[in-house]
Amino acid sequence: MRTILSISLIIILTSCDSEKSVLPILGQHDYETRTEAGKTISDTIHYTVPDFSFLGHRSVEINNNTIAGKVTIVDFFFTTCPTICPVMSRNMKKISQEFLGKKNLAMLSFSIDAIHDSIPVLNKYASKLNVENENWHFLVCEKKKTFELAKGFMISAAEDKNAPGGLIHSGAFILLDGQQRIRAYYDGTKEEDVDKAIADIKTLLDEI
Amino acid sequence: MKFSLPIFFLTMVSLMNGCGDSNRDYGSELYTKHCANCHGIQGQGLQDLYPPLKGADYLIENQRDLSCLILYGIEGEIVVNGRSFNEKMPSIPHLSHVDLTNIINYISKNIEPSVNRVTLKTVKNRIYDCK
Repeated sequence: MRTILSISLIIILTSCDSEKSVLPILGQHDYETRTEAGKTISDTIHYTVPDFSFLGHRSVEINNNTIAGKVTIVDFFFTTCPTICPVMSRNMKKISQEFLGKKNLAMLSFSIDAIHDSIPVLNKYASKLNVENENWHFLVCEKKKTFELAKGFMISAAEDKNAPGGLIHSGAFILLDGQQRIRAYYDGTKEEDVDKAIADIKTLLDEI
Repeated sequence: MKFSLPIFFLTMVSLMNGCGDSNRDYGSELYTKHCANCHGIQGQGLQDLYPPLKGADYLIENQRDLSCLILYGIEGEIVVNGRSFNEKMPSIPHLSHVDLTNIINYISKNIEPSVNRVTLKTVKNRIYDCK
């Protein structure tokens, strides 16, 4: 009897966390050594996304402090993009609706077209998209800074005269944790990837 | 080499069968590539940004001009089911008459049945008219 009970207990305990996935911390890690009580201790320094300060579509400055301690989902787009952006916006909207009212989730959509996408244009775009989530920000800054920032998120965004709309960019959604570390990339044009992103956001929100 | 008529026909038949993929749905491929990003896979549109195609009065009423609208795009405000839309629809100048026929017939079959099916000849004539 005792053996059966022990086996049952082991099965129950080992099955508890089997479904919970742990998201890796992405990017180049660094190490820092320090001495404590005569012992050398090595700490891992994880990659974090670069500092930024952009103007949001509600005419408010949005920067790293805005997303500090929050799970954040990010994409790069432009309002006149005739190809993948409408699909990405549709999918960002799905995430936005799923987490409506969740203050621990921030959503950032960086426009890569500083010439056309002024604050009023972004505001109109958000309005036409019926964005209800006040934690979703459409952002713009000068072109060079935006392209540099995209590199910091380890995705591509650039001018290309041959591309529809004159700009090319990744269709990725990038998931950050509360410490602004990159935890996952998703194809923002694929519904199954977006569902995975929603599940992973829930996992990260539990970590906070 | 002696010419054999049956072998010649068999060869021709097998070559012709290999030329195209008869199972390919060109209309679906073209719709997905050129239309679905904005109008949605099911033609549902995107909020107040891009109008729906499914159940859209504008589409049904202007179906005669559909070939030209797809080919040359739309600029300016349009009203669809009482809602105003004002995003520019880009032209797709490289679409052939066959492509346009396939897209319209895909919309007719899968998105909005009130849009009538078209023939290649009809599309050619309508493009000629709107040039």
